[in-house]
Parts: sequence; structure tokens; C-alpha cells
Amino acid sequence: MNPIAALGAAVLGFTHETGRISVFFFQALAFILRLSIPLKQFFKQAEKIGFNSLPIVILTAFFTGGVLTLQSYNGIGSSMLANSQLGRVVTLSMLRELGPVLASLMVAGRVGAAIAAELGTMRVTEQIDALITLATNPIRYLVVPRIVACALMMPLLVTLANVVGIGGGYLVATHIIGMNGTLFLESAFNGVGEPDIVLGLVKAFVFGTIIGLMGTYQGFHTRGGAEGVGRATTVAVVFASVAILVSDYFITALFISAEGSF
Amino acid sequence: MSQPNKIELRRVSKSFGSKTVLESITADIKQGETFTIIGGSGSGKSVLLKCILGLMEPTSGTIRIDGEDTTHLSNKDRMKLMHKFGMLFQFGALFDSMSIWENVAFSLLEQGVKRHEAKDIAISKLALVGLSPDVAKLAPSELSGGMKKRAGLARAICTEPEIMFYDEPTTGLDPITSDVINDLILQLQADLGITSIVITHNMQSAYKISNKITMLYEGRFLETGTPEEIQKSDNPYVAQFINGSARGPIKMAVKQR
Repeated sequence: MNPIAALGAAVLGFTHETGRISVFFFQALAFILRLSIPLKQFFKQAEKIGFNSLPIVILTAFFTGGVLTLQSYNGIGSSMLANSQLGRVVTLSMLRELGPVLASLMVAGRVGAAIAAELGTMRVTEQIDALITLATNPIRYLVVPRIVACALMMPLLVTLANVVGIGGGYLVATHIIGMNGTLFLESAFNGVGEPDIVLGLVKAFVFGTIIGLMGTYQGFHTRGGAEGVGRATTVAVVFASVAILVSDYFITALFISAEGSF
Repeated sequence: MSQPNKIELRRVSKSFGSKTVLESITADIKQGETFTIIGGSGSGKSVLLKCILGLMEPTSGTIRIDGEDTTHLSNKDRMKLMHKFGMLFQFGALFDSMSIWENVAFSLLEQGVKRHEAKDIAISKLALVGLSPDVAKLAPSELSGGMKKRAGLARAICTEPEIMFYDEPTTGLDPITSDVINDLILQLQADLGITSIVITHNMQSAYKISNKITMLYEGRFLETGTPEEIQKSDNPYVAQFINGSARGPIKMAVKQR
């Protein structure tokens, strides 16, 4: 194939896939906006997605906060400046960036993969067809609860990740670096405002939606037996991760330009 | 046989891209009749079944159920129509996140029937297909292939459908279990007057349960008739298929596509 044709095929493929994902999302959104959400399924998924992700999110956040403190302290160089700025740097980075992004990437790996594998298996073993023959719309029954649970649980997980990450930073600052804890906390709370928290939560909500959408979409459209399920799982995680990182940039850019206009 | 037509197919075609799977299929299936479709792998049997069920939309042609055109229904109307249908999938397609009785009572639970009532109904349906109440609380993965199919059948008949679809109901089962399933299909037809469409390549089963048999080959119906007529068919394709001979006009592709 000549390179121009290959480029064309890639662009067409990408556009086609994006369109299909959008249509799929709007099908689910139609139920969500009408509040037609199977509650029992939603709570089951909320537990799986939210509660069961706690250990991994807490662990990630704790060490992220810790390493961030260590690196920033070394980067700042002067202990005078560190006393007044370290808490602020760590807290802002956690709230605005690392909390939502790292927690979401971990959840994408854990939950996105699980969703794609479960729905993919249901697809290839005809369980999704079986749902339809039992007069149950599989988008409403399978897809909607998962997307809603991801979108609502992610901000909660990120809030916890932020707290744990700042806690980890505090412990490293006071016990490893030997800083005064009060100074660290003072710098942390003085430098942070509501917009920083809002930005983190908006990101968490969007990333959660992305994880749920990619997992359900790939699972729902799985083809080709066990191999297909494996492929769907991989693609769900990769697409979700890439989409999280790309949208992170644009949400941040939008937010900063909006902040500037106040 | 002055029964009304339950299902009417008029020039139903289905193609995927440039590949034509069904070509102008026309058939009438009468109320209470068991209509069996035989044919080799890849002949389009499953696609035809999925078109009638509404899991796929035909490329052209019309499908009428109880005289009503159901070819292009909205999602909502489609779901309403599904209440008339029951389907037994090839491998049961039981939901593995639920116990057997929750599978059987799925529709009832979705309609808001109380759990203990739904469970009682599920157990009575399981008894109908010869499964004991002990099976009710097991997970699908704990069942053998034949038991899964029976549980799948119990789930399909739980809401008392008017039309049953069977996708290879006896494939992969031992001869005795196969005959148990055959008897169940006959019993459902006799007791509940259900109209059935069966896909199979088990000829013994086809002769036993069918009122009419048709052979699908390369997307067309080659011949349709009663089991006796099909057995005596002088169509070389049909004769080769029902006798299971490698020699004849049908050449099996070694490689697909």
C-alpha cells in the first residue's frame, strides 16, 4: 500500500471508530438523561468500581505524594524556600494533576479492563443476545450502570487519593526531610483555593466517564472468541489511558483560560 | 392444516458488505408448527434466525409476525415484540453472574415480581425441563452442557412465549440427552401450542420434532417438505446432506473465505 493510502485508511478508521463510540455514548446518555438507570445494577457496579479500587488508589496516591515531596524539596534546593513553598507545590500538584490522572490511570487498568472482559465474554457467549431475547435492552441493563458508576465513583476516589497523597507528602516532609509539619500544612492550605479542588473533581468525573465508556464499548463490540476478549481488554485500557492524558491537557488549558478571565 | 401463518418471510436477503449470506428467502410458518432449518456450517442458518428474532436487520425483504411487519421496528417496539419470543442458545447463554434460578426467573425479576415468588416459579419451570430444585441455587459453571441447555430452555419458556427459537438444541449432547431435549420440544409444542423454529444438523432430531424441514444452502432454501418428503428427496444436495456423505455436489470449503 502506498503511504498516502495508508494515511487515508488510518484517518478514515479513526473517524469511523470515533463516530461509533459517540453513537454508542449517546445511546447510553439517552437513558441516563431520562434517569432510566437500573439501580440494583448500579449499586453492584459502584461497589466493584469504587470500593474495590480503594487499595490500589490509596497505595498509588500515598507514594505519589511522598515522591513528589522528595523531588520538589531537592528541586527547590533552599530550605528557606522549601519551608514556604513545599506544601503548596505538593498540594497543588496532587489536587490539580496527579491525584485525578494517576488514580484514573490505575482505575482504567483495573476497572476498564474488567468491564471490557466481562462484557466481551458476555458478547461471545451470546449472553448479550440472550438479554435482548428476554426483552431487556442491553445498553440500559449493562452499559448505563457501568458508565454512571465510573463517572460518580471516580471523583470520590480522587478526593480520597488527594487526601492520602497530601498525607504521604506530609509524612515524607516531616519524617524524612525533617521539616516542621506546621509550616508544611500552612503552606499547603494557604496556597490552595476552591478552583483547584473543582478542577480535580471535574477531571475525575470526565476520566471516570471515559473509563466506563471505553470499557463498555470495547466489551460490547467484541468479536472472535477468547482472543477477541483479550484484544478488547487491551484496547479498552490503552484507549482509555490515551484519552485520559489527552483530555487532561485540554481540560487544564480550558480551565486556565477561564480562570484568567475572572 | 387451516392454521393461520404465524411467521411470514418475503424475499428476505441479508448481506455483509459484498458477501451475500441470505438470498431472497420466502417461507410461511404456521401457528403451532415446528419448522426446522438444516444446512451446513456457514450456510446462513444463524443469520436467518437472528433476522427473524430481530437481533439483525435484513438488507431487504419483509418479515411478518402475526401479520404485523416487524422488519424495521424501533428499539422500544422491538423489546415489546420480544415478549412473544423465547430462544434457546447453542450453549445455553446463561448469565454467569447469576444462579440458575435467577437466570430462569430473569424476566420475572426485571418485571418486579418478588424474589421468593419468582424463585418458586423458576423451580417449577426447572421441573418442567427435568431439573431438580437442588440445581436452582448452583452457578451456571457448575452445570454440564446438557443441564445448561435445559436451564436455558427453562429460562426461555419462563415468560410463556408464543414462538420458540432453538439454535442447535442437541449439538454436543450425548444421544440420550439429545432425545430428552427432543421430547421436551415436542412436549412444549403439544402442551402450550408453541410455534417453533429449529436450527440443527442432527437429522434424527430433525425427523422426530419437525412438521416441516427446509434445507438452506448458500443462502437459499433448496427444498421444503415434511420429514417424509425430505427423506425421499431426489435433490442431490439434500440427499447428500441428510445421508451425511462427503461425496456429492456439496463441496466443503477447506478454508473459509
